[in-house]
Amino acid sequence: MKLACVIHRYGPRATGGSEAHCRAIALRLASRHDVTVLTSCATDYVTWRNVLPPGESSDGPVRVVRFRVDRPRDLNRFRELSELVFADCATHDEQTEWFRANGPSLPGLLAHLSAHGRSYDRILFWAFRYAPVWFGLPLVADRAVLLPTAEDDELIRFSPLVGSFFSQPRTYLFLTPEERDLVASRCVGPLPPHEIVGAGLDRAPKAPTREALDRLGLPDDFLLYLGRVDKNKGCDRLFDAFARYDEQVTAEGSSAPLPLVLAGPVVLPVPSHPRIRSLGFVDEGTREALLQHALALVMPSRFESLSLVVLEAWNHGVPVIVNGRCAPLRGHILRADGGLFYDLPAEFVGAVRYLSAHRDVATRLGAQGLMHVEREYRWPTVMAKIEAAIAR
Amino acid sequence: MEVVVEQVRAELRARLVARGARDDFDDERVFDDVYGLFRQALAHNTRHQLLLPELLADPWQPDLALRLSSHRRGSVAALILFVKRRVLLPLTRWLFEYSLENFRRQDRVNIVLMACLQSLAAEHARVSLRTAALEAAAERAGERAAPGAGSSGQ
Repeated sequence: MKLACVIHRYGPRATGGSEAHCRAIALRLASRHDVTVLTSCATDYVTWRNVLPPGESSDGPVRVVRFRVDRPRDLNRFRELSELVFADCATHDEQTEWFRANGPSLPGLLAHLSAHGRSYDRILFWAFRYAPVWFGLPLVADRAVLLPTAEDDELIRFSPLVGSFFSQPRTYLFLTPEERDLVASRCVGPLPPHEIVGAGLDRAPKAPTREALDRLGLPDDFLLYLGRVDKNKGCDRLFDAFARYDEQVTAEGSSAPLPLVLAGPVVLPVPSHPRIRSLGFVDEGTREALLQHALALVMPSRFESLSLVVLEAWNHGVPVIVNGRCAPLRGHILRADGGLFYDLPAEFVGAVRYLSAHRDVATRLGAQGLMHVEREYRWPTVMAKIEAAIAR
Repeated sequence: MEVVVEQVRAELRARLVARGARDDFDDERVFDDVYGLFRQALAHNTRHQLLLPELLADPWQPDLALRLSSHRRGSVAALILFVKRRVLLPLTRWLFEYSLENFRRQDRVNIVLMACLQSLAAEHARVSLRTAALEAAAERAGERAAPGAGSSGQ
């Protein structure tokens, strides 16, 4: 088949979840199909500034066609529109303008879809909230395969435009059953054919030693948060809940509280706390060692469509403690039995205390998480589902 | 997970009772019902499933978005809006965001309280209907018993 993949940024250095997902799938699809990635020249998802040269290049077996962004993001206007959209105050025109302002604005890509879209058998689109997908998918809806990466936020809850957009793709590839349910709940009419594919993982490398962690002076037991330290990821609430846990355990004096280790770029001030340690961006070896040796991974985000890092923790046999108000995270836990979820700060405290007092249970939950990854998230399983869905 | 949730709930009840809520939560079953009701209300994240906002004629919701406008027209209006957007708002952004965050919190509390009220009102209506049905059934049973009692009296 002749396939195209539409994504806002592309390349080994495009570190976002959708971008990494797209690249991993495009490279694998290219072993059996003729795959072209249609993307921007941007590397920065905030400004969309053109950095990479436009035109054709290749990424291994994948042909990459880059289009110039015709205007960088107007951050002031985008912020104003976001306030209206996310407060359920935006008119239809303002909602459409929000998608345009979110960018990247790629008139060349849209013209390419209009002129040559029919030459592809299927066109896979990643992340519905970006302009190339929102404005491009309707041009080729009869062959469009959408991976929406939908999160239960105000955009989906409030925008009346979303419902009719969701009825257009030929096929859906979802990351979780909860994402499917969310899109189905907003879709005008019946949900088009779909498959729940998730994301693939290779087996974790042989257990890394603690050497990298010892160099950083990390203790044997710690809680791990891995990813961008950001309010949007629930880190502010995590800090509050962790402080509560620390206070309670310290007040009782029966055992020492576990420290919280943060690894990832920091865009939210990290409170000065003797047991919160922020490492910033870490190299791959340190990341693997952190995942291997954490007592549990914490994922406080309310807005996730998959959360690859939860699957990565299970890939290392590490249990997770997740925000139960995020339906896909709660669903992961219920399906895998690989950790605990919390709705309230007090439940976070209870979950951490329970796992630190019941190490055998923590080990068992981690092992169950790994079994779940083996069953559902190995690449051959994921690709077989994708191949079947795009062949329909 | 249930073990943790149970433990958290028990600790919370013990704490509230110790702080003086004995009258309300002495009975564990009452506490569990109230806890369940509040948790259910907390799951509401929009006003769209609530009746009370539909019945409120006047604006009630905190205004969570700033829509800049000018009563003037043409290029003067454009200039004024430009100054508001690009000069005044950036200068006062910190205050705007502080207020907005507090309005958002208030909005969330409003929705949760309305959801609690709706659950309680619905529960009250269901209990009333059940009571009325029981009373009607008791009345019918009384009427059936009455003819026999009457005939024996005749």
